[in-house]
Amino acid sequence: MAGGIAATLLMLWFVTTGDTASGARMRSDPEALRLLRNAESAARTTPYEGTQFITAWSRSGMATTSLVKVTHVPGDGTRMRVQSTTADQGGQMFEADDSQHSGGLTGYTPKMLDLLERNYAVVGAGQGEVSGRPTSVIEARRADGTAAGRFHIDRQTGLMLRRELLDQQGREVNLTFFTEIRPSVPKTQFVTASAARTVEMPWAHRLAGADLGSLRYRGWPVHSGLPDRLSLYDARQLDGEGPVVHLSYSDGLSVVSVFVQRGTLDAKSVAHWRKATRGGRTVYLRDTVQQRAMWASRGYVFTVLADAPPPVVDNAVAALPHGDTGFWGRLGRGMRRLSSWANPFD
Amino acid sequence: MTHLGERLTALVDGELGHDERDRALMHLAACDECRAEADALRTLKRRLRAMGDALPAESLLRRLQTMGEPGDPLPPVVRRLPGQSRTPAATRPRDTRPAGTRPRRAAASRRRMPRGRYLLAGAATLAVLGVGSAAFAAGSEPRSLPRVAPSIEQFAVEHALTSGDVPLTDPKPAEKTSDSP
Repeated sequence: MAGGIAATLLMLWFVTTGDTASGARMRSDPEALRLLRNAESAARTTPYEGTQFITAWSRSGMATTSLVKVTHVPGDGTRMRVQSTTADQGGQMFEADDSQHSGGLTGYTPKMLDLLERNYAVVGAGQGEVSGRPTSVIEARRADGTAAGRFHIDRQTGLMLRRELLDQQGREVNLTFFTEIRPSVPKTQFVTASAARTVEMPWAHRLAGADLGSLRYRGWPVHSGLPDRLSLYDARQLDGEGPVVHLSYSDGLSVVSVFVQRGTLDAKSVAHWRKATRGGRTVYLRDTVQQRAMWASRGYVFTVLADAPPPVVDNAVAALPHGDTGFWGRLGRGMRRLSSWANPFD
Repeated sequence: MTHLGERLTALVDGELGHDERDRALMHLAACDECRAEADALRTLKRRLRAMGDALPAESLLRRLQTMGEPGDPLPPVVRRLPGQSRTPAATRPRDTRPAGTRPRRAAASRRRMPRGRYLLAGAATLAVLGVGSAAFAAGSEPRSLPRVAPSIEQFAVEHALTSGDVPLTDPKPAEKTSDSP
């Protein structure tokens, strides 16, 4: 009970403190929101199997496409296996039904939906069809009325069958849809799906508000928000000799992951990456499966993985620290050290 | 808007009269600049008070006093006897102004004797310089930061798990190119 309240408060904290939106909440269609919320529960309660088509476009126009076999067993979880891909290799994963993170095409996580509702006008946009199945079309629209995301919800099962992420010009940045789907799974495949599963979980060490405050105090660059209304909605740490902090930002559609490590960048890590200049500083880029950026600054190494339009990624990268600490940065770090030396409880 | 200037120090020292203090406080409520300055002065005063016995040496105080009155020789230190007034009446010109226009003694004394303020400013400067130097020295980067090779495949899985996507790895490496938009 207490854990549930704490988790709710933590989620609320992430959603509220990470708010970089300047304007008031845009008006959404309650029916469209209801369909999106139902898609999440439908993804957990409906047995189905099918094939997903996933494509991401890079800023140069190159597409990376994968076909993924998806099987869902209610009460157990979702098994995803990459059948073919233009990426180097495919992986497989199993998402348990009690996971707080299942999202993607099969549903929409409540946290992401909260952010979506806050940053966009979610409205119905007529009827459609995916793999021969009639769908209700929902759009997430920007303040200027252009569509930033489009969803197709199966009118029979409530499952999300298609999701598009669009840039300002209306071009697709990410596209995921079912090329085929059967809303029932034979009994024999229940066993197969469970037995062969590869359970994947996010890093277990979740960072609460106090942990993030402590990191900031020690000089770690932890931003509560990034440009384009990206809010920090999840933070985790991979413990070990060199801990890695994973900060997840989203506006409800785009997702930007920032991984921060203490140290300097090993040049071999970016041997095949594209060297670019952003704001007068060197950044290494790769935009294939996701858009990726890597650089070192002020004693930290930053790795950004993003499913977002290129301008959103560029703005996020530019907002993170670059270059040397500088005089004031060094002074600030020294003051923190001095105060920590003087504080017997630190 | 006219700022508080000298009255700010008097306010922090609690030397303003009731009305003047209220006016100063009203000004502070509307003036970020003066408020920040007042906060800084109060902090400084608190810190100096906390220093207790660790006051600067007498010779240093004397030098600071000299800095405050450039060009003029230091006045002789006059030790007053008990009951003796600050300035002998015979050497003081007679004040013939109407009683209402005479400045209050405290204010006049403050203008003539800014020694305390100079001492305060000098000590503050020294304290800031000392703490600043120590902080700058302590703020240096550790000499041996670890060399990091980010595990991009592991990060891709973690990104996928928290964003609800399927984890996919990169296509085969392309030739290295440069891009300077």
